[in-house]
Amino acid sequence: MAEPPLDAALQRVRDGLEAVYVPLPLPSAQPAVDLAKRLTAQLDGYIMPRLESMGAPLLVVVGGSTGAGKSTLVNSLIRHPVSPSSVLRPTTRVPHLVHHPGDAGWFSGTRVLPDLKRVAKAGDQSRALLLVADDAVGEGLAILDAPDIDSVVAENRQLAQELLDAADLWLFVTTADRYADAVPWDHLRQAAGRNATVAVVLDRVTPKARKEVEGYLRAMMEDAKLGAVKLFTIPETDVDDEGLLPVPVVAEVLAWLKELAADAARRQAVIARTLAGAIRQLTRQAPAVARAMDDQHNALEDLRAEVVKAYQSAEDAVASQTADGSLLRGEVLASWQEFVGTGEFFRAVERGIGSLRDRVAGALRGSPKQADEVGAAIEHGLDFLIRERAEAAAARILELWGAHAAGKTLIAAADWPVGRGSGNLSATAAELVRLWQADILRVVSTEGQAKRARARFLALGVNGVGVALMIVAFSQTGGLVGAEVGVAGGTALLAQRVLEAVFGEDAVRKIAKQCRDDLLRRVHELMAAEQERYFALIDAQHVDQSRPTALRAAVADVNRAREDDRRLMAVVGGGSVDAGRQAKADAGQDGSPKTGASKAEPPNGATRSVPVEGPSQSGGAARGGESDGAGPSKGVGAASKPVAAEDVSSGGAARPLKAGGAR
Amino acid sequence: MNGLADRLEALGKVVELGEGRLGEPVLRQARRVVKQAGERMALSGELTVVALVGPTGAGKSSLFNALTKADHAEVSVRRPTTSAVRAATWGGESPAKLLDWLDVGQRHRLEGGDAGFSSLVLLDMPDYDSVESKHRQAVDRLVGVVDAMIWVVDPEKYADSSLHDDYIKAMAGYSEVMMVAFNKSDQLSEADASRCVKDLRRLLDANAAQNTPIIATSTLTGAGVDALREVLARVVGAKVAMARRLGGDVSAVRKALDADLGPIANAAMNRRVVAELHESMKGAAYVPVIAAQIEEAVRKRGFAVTGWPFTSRRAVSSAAILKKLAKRQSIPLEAGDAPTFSGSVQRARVDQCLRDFTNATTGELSDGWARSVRAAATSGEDELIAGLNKVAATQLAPQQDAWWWHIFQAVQWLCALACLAGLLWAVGGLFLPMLGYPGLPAVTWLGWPAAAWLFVGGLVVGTLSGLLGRALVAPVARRAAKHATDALETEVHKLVSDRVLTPVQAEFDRYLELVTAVKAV
Repeated sequence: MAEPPLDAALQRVRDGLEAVYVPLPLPSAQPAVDLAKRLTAQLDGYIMPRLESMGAPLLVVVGGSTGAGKSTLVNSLIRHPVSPSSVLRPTTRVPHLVHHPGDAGWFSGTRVLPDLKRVAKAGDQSRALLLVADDAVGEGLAILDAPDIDSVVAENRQLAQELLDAADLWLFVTTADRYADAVPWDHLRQAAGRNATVAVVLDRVTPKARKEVEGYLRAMMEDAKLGAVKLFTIPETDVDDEGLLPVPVVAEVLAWLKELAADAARRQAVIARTLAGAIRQLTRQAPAVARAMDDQHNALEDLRAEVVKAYQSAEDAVASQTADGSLLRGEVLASWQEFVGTGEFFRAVERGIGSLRDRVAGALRGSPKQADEVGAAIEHGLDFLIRERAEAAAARILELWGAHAAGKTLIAAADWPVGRGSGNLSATAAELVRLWQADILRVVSTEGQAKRARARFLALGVNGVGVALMIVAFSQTGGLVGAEVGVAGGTALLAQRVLEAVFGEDAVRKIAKQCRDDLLRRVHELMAAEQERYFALIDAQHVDQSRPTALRAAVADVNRAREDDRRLMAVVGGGSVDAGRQAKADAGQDGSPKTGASKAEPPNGATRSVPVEGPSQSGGAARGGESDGAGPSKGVGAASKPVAAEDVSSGGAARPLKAGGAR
Repeated sequence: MNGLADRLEALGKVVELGEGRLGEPVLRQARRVVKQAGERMALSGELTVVALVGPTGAGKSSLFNALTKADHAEVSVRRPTTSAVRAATWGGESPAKLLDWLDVGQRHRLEGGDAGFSSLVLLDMPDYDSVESKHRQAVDRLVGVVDAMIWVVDPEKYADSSLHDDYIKAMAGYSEVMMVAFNKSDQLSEADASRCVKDLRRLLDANAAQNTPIIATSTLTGAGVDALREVLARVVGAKVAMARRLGGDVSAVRKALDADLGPIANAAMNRRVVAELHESMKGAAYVPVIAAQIEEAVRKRGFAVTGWPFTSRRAVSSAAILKKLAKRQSIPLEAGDAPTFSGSVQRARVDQCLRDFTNATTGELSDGWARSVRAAATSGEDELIAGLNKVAATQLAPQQDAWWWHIFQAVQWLCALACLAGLLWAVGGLFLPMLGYPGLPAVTWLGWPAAAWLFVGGLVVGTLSGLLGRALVAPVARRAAKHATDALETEVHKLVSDRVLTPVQAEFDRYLELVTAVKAV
């Protein structure tokens, strides 16, 4: 709770970014993973540590194209060949961080760039950082020689991006040949976009072309809204034995850096400006990760909708084909006519035929054999129809899913044939029809008990009436049976007549509808079970909207908190130098600036009140800055204090380190 | 390796056969190569088009000027410098059509001079790595059509990702028509320059461009320019660059085709699967149902004819009863009431047969071909169903009774009459004298009255012949059913072959033809 809201919110953004989950290979997936990784690295390597210790030395990252002369420039600035330069590209493999001996404590720990291993000697290590203590660099300022941003070595490019993301100030080195290259300009525009502090060094300019080239570059910078950026030009010259450029050539850059090192307030302004820009950029870019996760969710929902649609149309087809009489063909019709052609049926329909004999005959005979055959034919046909529709839906889904990247992933993930009905489909369909027919017979015998025309009922038997009812149910369009059905109309009418004779006209309609509804309900259940298999595949991806929602909420929190955070307002501040000193002193004491600073600070309660009341003061800018000065510096302690004191916060603070180590 | 013309012909055939069956990207690539190669070869087999390609500031234009010994190309410190493509030709007539095809606007014709360059078209191109994305588009277009390329790099940029990752890696198949000029070598000491060239060699080899020579050049000192000129003259003189380039294009398509086809499938119909299709299609054509109906009808009719005249009355056909009932209930029986088999159930059954069949047949094929085989299998489904119905509607039941039925019938009637006569005789013999009529002669046969003989004999013989008739009719009915089944099965078999197997086989043949063509590409 003592953690400033901005730090807490950033931690949540970090958690949200780390939780990026994009299992489907959509176009937005890999970029989102890369972006999340990059932003997480920037949070761990720069934003969070920088917020915790605003007074730490300003980190100048010298970056640019391969062969632009970055190493030579760094060596020449400190007048020592610390970073090997070579005619071979790419050169710098292990980045060198040159700092004042007094600032060693700031960099030796894992405060900044925690996942780069600190090494003492440059070798073939990857993801390492070589620390060079050299008092040619002023206190409060460190120079980092980054790898090239455009060489064939992908690892270099990635590391360069990470280091540039961690820079308080980017010294962009280009040459007379390079200044219009696309790759570095992408980086420059990015830096301009997030308001990072940049200076440009134009290297290897022949004196003759100097004016012209400078002019072109200036124009390009203006176009990129980098017009106000400082531009240094270094002419093409020979290097000395140690590979250093002559002093006069780099004098201007050197003077500028020295000045910056000496002026704590300006340094602080640079730091705050770049940090504020980086945080703003973070809040602009992080939603893209959330959007990519939305894409995943939407893609799965689209797949789900296709499944629903396929099975819905299967159900619709069954519904329409069992209603329009088209089922009353072939086997069913033939066996039905066979059944109707028996004397029993005849007598059941014809009134005025002795009932006593019928009763006796019915009781003796049970159901006529032909009625069973009709029942079997219906069962057969219905079973085929339902099964085929379910199979067709599955085949349709395979086709539809096969057309998307997301669908293909799910097809590959399934351990059953996606384009087929479930393994027990035929059993289920057969069972469905059997149960439905059993239900019909039950309805018939219940209804039949109470009816006046028991004689006729008995003559036909439960099964006979049952199949008549099925025939009527299959030729029912809007509850009416008749010639408008067209197909097998006469057949259906005969069935209708016999039922009317047994149950009465109104009851027939009701019962037939009930039977049909029952059938459709069962078909719906079967199709639902079939489509459930696909839903299970979709759900197994475990894509839900909680992750993007949490990330968006965290970003919104950062946006709110950064408006009020005093540390980012140090642009006009003057007293921030104290923070650096304080931290440095602690660093000397303890070896680790972070824990040292937290121990040296007063309890949170006291420090927290300063930033809170700070903004309400409406004094002049200078005075405000003066009093604010204590804010950021003590804020350092306030932020880091809980790290040692409280479980919750220490857990939060420890995570980036762990995450970095695991990477 | 076949000749280029043969390979292109095979590729043309692949495009034709693969239409709608291969992936659209592959087809597009293949079509483009066929068209482009055809156009290029038609334009000129003599000339070799060589392009200077490189990053901004590497000195392409300077090299162009050095090779043409003129100052046609603007050289400047402004980056990017060159934005339009420029062509140089030596002597003779300007190959206007070729340059039109290449879409090169700026053309320079150089007089005489280099004999080795007489059939060279040299292009100076814009860069591919500057902020001007249009330049990159122009480069990408031309890199796709020129015969040979000179990649121009300098000490600063020779290891750029944009060169190696974006171009060389993708163009390893063209390494024989590429060369690299390590330009601005004057900026380095000789030792450094050779280290750089070695490093560059390593980078090229890593992308399988071992056959691409590297020549260190300097337009400032003129070093290496003659060497480059020599290599260039050799390439041009050999007149193989175009064929190699186009061959590289074709090889790239071949690779894409192989990837699209996947492992070559055994495109044949399994005999078991075909047998299963025929079998299941019989069910869909209701052959067993129809056969059972025929058997039943024949049996009924046979029983009616050969049966005991007094009891076989009930063997009236159900159709007759149905008609009678419909008439009495005034229900119109329509055509739709005739037992046809067409309908949704039958379609469902046929669908299922076809689906099982294609699932079993297309397992090994690539997606596109599996789809086309499925389409072929279902292409004749409507005709198939119509055919099956026509078959089902054929009157297959024997229209005539067997001749011996009537012998039985006659026997039955005789027996019935004898029975009746015996009865009458006996009754007459008993009652007539009572009524005062003269009695009937009492004839006795073998000690029994003739009337008894007639009555009992008729009864016994009639019953026996009835039983015998029944026993003999049943096989006739079964035979009729068998006969109908055979006839139906032959028809169904023929329909399935015509409407399903033939189109599927045609699709398989097409596949095999395409595979052969791909192998020839």
